[in-house]
Amino acid sequence: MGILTLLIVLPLGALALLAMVPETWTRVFRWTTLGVTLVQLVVVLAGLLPVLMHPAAGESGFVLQEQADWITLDMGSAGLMKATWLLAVDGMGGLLILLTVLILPIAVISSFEITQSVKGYFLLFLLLDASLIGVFCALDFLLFYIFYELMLLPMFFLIGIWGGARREYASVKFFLYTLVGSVFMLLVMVGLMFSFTDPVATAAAGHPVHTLSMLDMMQTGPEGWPSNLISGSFFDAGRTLLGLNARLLAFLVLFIGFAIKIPAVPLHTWLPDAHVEAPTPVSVILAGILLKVGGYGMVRICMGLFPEGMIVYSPWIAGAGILAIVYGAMVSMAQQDYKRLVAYSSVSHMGYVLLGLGALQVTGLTGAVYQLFTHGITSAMLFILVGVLYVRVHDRHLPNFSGLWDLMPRYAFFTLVGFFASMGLPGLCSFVSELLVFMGVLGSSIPLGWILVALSGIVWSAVYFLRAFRQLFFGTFDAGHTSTWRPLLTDLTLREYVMLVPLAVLAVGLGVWPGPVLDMIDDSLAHMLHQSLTTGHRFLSAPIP
Amino acid sequence: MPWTISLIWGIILMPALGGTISLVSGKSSVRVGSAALLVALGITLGLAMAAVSLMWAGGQVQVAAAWMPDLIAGDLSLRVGFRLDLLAACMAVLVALIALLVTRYSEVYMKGDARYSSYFAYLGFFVSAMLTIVFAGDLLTLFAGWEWVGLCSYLLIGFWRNKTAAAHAAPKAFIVNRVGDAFFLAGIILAVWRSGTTDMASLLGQGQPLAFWPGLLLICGAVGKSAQFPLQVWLPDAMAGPTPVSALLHAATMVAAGVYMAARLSPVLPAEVLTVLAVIGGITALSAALMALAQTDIKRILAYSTLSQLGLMMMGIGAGVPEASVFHLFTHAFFKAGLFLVAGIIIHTLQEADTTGNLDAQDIRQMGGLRRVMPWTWRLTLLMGLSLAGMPLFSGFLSKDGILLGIVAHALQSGGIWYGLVVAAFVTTGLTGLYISRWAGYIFGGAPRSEAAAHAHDARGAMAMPVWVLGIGSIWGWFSLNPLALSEGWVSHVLGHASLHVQEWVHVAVPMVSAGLAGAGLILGWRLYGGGRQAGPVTRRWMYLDFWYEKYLAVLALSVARLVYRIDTWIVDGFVRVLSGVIVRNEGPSLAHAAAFTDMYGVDGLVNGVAKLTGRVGRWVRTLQTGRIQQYIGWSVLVILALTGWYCWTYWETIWGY
Repeated sequence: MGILTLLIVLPLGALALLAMVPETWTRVFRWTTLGVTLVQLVVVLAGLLPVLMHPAAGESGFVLQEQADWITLDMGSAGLMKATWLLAVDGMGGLLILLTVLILPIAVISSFEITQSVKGYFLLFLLLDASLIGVFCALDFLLFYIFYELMLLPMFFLIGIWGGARREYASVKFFLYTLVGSVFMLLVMVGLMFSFTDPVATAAAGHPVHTLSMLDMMQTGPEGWPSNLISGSFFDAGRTLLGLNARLLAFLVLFIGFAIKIPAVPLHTWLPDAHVEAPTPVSVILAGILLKVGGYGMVRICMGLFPEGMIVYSPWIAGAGILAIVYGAMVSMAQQDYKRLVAYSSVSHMGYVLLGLGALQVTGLTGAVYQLFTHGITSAMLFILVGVLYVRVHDRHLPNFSGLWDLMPRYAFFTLVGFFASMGLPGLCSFVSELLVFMGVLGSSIPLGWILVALSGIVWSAVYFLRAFRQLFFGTFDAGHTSTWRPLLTDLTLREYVMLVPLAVLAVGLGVWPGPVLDMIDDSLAHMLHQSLTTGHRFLSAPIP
Repeated sequence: MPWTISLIWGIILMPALGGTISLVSGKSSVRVGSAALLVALGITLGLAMAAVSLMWAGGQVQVAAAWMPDLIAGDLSLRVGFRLDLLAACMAVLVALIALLVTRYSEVYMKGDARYSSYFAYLGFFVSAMLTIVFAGDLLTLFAGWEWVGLCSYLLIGFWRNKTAAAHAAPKAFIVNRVGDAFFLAGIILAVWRSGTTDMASLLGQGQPLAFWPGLLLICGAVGKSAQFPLQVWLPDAMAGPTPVSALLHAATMVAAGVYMAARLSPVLPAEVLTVLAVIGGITALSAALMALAQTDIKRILAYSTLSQLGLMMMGIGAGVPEASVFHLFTHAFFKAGLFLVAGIIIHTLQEADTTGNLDAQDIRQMGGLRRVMPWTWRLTLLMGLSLAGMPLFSGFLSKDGILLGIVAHALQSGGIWYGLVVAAFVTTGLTGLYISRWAGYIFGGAPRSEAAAHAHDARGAMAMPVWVLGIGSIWGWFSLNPLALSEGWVSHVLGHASLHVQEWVHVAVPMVSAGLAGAGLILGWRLYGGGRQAGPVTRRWMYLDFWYEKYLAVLALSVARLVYRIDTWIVDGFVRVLSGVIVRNEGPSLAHAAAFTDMYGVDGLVNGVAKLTGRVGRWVRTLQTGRIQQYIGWSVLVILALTGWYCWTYWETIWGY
């Protein structure tokens, strides 16, 4: 069994075992889940990273490839359809798997707070774990689609059952929103399947064998033309649907699906509701990992399979990024709810990912992917910080707090690290990604004026974070209506240290020394971008039949 | 030379190390909290001096490491590193020396504070961040130090976090600085794209200047950090921090970083940008000097004075004499830090002497007559005040002279707007004399105006020593043997000497005019405010000049000053406040609220609306499914009738043959 399969099977196996354990053994659920996530972490650190770090990781960068026959369907006159258990990672996928296994143990530790229906909670958690790993390494479109949908299911219940007062509303909203994207993805998948053949299997069988392997779909000939694209098929150049270019249409609907996930303004309103209602660990996973699936999909699927869409729409994508940065920050400034503020700051920060993608340039793309990683670290930290306060007094209304520095100095310290890491202070992680994104856009053809608007984002982030910091920590602790809180507001506990210290260390480490991580991703991203641009321009210049 | 590299690292890291020890050990022993930093800064000072002697012969040592892999096949290398040359070493000595003095002073000033050791920790971190700027060998390291001093400044301004003023001033300082930083970052990136490297030496070595926009954007960073127009609004508010912090950060070092950076980069700045910089400096110098006249807070006057002097330095850089500006930065660091420490001593002693409990120890109108009870403080103030005013025999004279000469020389060459800047510079010089003697007159002159002022006393020991050093450091002899002109000495060796092509009379006239104006300002200010009287009955001495002063000149100057101050508070800072009000505020409508409202009712409303609509349509459609055959037939008949009607209407002509 390969490493990637192991990473997916491990939580599923634990799930099967735990399903047989009686409900009352809460400790078993907690510690087993923690153990599983820690084993995953060790496997990734010891097995996956050395391979990816190795300079011989290969130009195209896909390593640890595993392929097994899965579904072969005879579609009569249309030929054979073949879906396989195809897993592999390149720098980007590996980085996001690393992020997943870093965040998950912390989320498990945070889940120790959960006391209601512990068994169900941890079983769903393990299912979510498996699907998150799967989504970042599945390279068969059907397999990707299944993992992508499978993520929704545990998330829906985790918010809907263990959430706050308006949990049903939030979970249904989350589910419907993301489902909209999925439906279109299904249609595009069918179209793709009929348009591509598996070269090896076709040669062996002597008649067309349709494939769902993204590796086959991305394979290009000498001039950048996809080698396995069936000429005249649904996604051949120049084919139209409802009078629109079919490929561009496919790009758009996929992109919108991922834009909901990331989320981009104006498709973001599920996020604050989901975050506010979700329990802390679910928020951590949602902001730390789940949003990254959107960015990952944009690069891997939108750019990888329909590269000319990226070229055509890149100014719009960059524009959407700028809108998200400024708009998210504006809305964040108006928030009085701590968690909602952090949620909207995520909208703003994911705008940098869109902006970096829209630059269509390797530095910007590297920055965008690095931002996926660093935002995973900082947002996880911020949501845990919110949780620290909420678990003590069950309130998140910022004006109700003041002068907490005197009561909780250690908490103030970690908040300071989290806030400044998030607003991109040099030496902390977000600075690297913001620097690379802005280097990318300033090296592209986007007008300087627009970039300055986007740059204002680093001022706005200082405004809302420092404002929240002042409300929470400056001033004197009000002994009036909150006097009953004084005994409750104690400084960090050991369990909270265990969650916050690794995140703070990562936030500093990734900011001071980004080299290794960037080394891991930049070759494969440069290769991917180069190939996509070649193919994209080839499609754009193709004669229309 | 690997050990030179260790030397740089030692200088930069030592204060942070001291700060960390303060932070860690402070809980167990208060004494260790400050002693650790003192020792660390002493070592830093020693190392910096060693660096000076090493680099005395010239040359530079560079150390750089790739910060991240070369992107785009090595076209662009992002490197971080340090550069040691004579100027940087001298700057390090200055920073370490003043930091050492301020730390020693703070030991007394902060005594009894509940968070005594964290104060020294922040101070240590600040010095390290500042030294990072000083030794930055590339733009990224510079930017990192740039933002770290901002963070330390935020923590130190907000040190007394229970005070409302501090709680608001700290974020304001950081955010306004960040506005400059955002532009600065854009400028850095544009410069990097052009030269393919972040390395400052190779950027400067390319010879030809940058384009207008990158140059202007780079300058914005200096404008923010050095609190130049229109980003000056944060500095006066920053006075909410402890006074030694104002002396170190907001007079001597951090705000000077903008000048240092602009001076270092000035060879690659295009002429238009330099002119913009000079105009910004001129506006700041003049308006801040006027505003200093309208203040009554002992520290705010000095804050505006700092703005004004920094503006003067910016004008010097714009005029092409960056070495004069850096020299003024050096001398200014001494006398301005000293004046702030004097203010601290006064505030401290007044607070001690106050028995009523409702004295505003920072209001100069409550003081007066301190000359008699604090004779040594008065004498030292005199040294530093005269140096600030730019009187001969003091260091300020020498350095200000260089800047003014540079501006005049540039004006004679370029003309145009530069003549206006010459006027601004000289008026500023006169106003400097006026406001500082007003400041000193209110505090030291006349009779005590409060009970506490009568019982104030000189500081002793650890609090007095730094002021002595700084006061004596304001005398000419440390910088030049000739008190009236900068002679060949260490200053010109370190900074280089600009050769100005002007006639001999300019060299004579400029210092005479500036000293004359400053002297007139000093005398006027002392006569108006040194007598310890509020604008009382006209004394008919001095050929009725007092009458003229009070009736017209002073009234005019004061009303202009009040006007400018009002403009500053209402328009410039007002703009900031309105902007922040428009964008975000707690109650009432604002842009952020509008965005939030749009989000809740517009975007999310649309989503919920669609959801509701779907539900309604669903419910309505459900009502059609009643299961009653009669109703279905009825609907069918209706539809058939409607279709027939539509058909007849459309094909009316065909059917009826018209």
